[in-house]
Amino acid sequence: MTLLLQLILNGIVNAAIYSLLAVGFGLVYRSLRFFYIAFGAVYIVASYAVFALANMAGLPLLVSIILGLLIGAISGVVMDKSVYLPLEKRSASTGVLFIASLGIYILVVNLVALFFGNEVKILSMGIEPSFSIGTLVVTRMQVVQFFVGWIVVIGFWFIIRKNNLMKGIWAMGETPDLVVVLGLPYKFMRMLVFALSSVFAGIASLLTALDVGIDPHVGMHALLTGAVAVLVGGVDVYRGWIGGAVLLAVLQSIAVWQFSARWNDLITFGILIITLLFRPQGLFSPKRRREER
Amino acid sequence: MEMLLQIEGIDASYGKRQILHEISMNLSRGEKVLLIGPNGAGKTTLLKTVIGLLPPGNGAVNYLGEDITGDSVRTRVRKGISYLLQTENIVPGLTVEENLALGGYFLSKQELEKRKNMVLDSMEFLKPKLKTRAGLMSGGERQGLALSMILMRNPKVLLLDEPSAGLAPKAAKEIIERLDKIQAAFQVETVCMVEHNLKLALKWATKIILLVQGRVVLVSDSPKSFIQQPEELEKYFFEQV
Repeated sequence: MTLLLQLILNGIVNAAIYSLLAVGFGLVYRSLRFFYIAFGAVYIVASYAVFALANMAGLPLLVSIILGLLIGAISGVVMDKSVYLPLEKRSASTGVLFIASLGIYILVVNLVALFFGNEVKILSMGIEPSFSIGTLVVTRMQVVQFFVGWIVVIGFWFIIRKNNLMKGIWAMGETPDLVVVLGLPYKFMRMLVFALSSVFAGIASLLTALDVGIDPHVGMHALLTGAVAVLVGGVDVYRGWIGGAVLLAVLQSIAVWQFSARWNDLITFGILIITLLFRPQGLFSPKRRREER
Repeated sequence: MEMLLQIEGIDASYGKRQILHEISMNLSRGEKVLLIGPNGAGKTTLLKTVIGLLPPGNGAVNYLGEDITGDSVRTRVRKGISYLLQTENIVPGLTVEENLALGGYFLSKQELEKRKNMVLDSMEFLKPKLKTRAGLMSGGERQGLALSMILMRNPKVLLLDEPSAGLAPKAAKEIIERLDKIQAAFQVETVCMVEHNLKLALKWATKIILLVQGRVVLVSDSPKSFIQQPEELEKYFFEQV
């Protein structure tokens, strides 16, 4: 029983990170309607930037983190301006954007591997202190992951609900022409989508990398986790992204309890396939008119 | 009558396919212009060129004597031209109130509230639905909301692309009959509407422009004369079939 509770606790901590990934991926996928594989690339950029700044250049960790997130955000915006936006102007299909995104992912991963090597890089040295809650144990890093993750994700939820610009970004994914015709700042909103997505990816990446380190190939797993959470919860509703992430994290923990961590991917994609078969609009999608489906 | 919008020799193409051929027309203050023509005549393309969604190959668009051909859509909207898209003209995932707020994006909070109340006084059926998700509304209500959204920014020129498209006859009649009241209440100076429902639209219009294959073939200041003999106009439609 203690083991199950411990695993559920770990699941709730992981849910915070999965939620960050879901929001990061969901922002681009929902607003621009293409499968943003390069999300896996932006995911590693922030952590490697922090590694270079803190461990190689010797800057203080906090300064490195802020600069790392900024570099991540800039990298996302540059990808859009240099690849996606020009392709869209030429009326490229979502299939073309998908392939271009895959290309960017491979390019970035290879460049990072070339400069930093393929092995795991450790961002913080030493043994993490841990605390006991009854029979359960949490590490300091888990506490940080839990609070930072949930504060960012829930804080952003409030911003989305109140802010008109975020409503405009939400509208982009449903009616892009309308957004332009109403005179909303489309280019700025698009830039903001990529910047915010990269910041969410960067925070998730750093929270993980500070705990277990980073290698150039972890981005794909992060991308798939975010994408599955969004698709399972429902693309068109923010609480669905979070719901999908929590469900995924907790079920993975239970799977570890029953089987082994090696079966996590089976759980991830099993949930995805079952959801797509029986409720393709996602588990948390609102009621729709027949014409909307 | 004072000239508001002048379109001078516009050509427009989608890729290599030229849709509009040297279109020229004027919209004056107080006019209600009905733009008609068979499918594929270029009516929507013309409206898109005027609002700036499609850059013209040749020609110019002048608004209040100023050349706005190079202006972005956003600048044109700010100057007072608004365009009602034929489809996807509301955001189904947002509530009615949120949709209206998007329509009045650049307004201050007080201005937004004032304008919203003004719009709701004209579209009273939206009042009880402010918190409803727009996607759940009926076709007629959606068109009413779409029109309300573009009225949030105090437009001087309204370009309407088939506001009655896909509506039941009663809802179509209501929305077109509402236009005169809206024009007076919101001090809209001119309306240019694409509409296939000739019976309804001819009663409303003060001027008709007939487009066939991207060219203006008829301009008339007495649309009411065609009410008794719509076949005079319809022959152009059938010739194309």
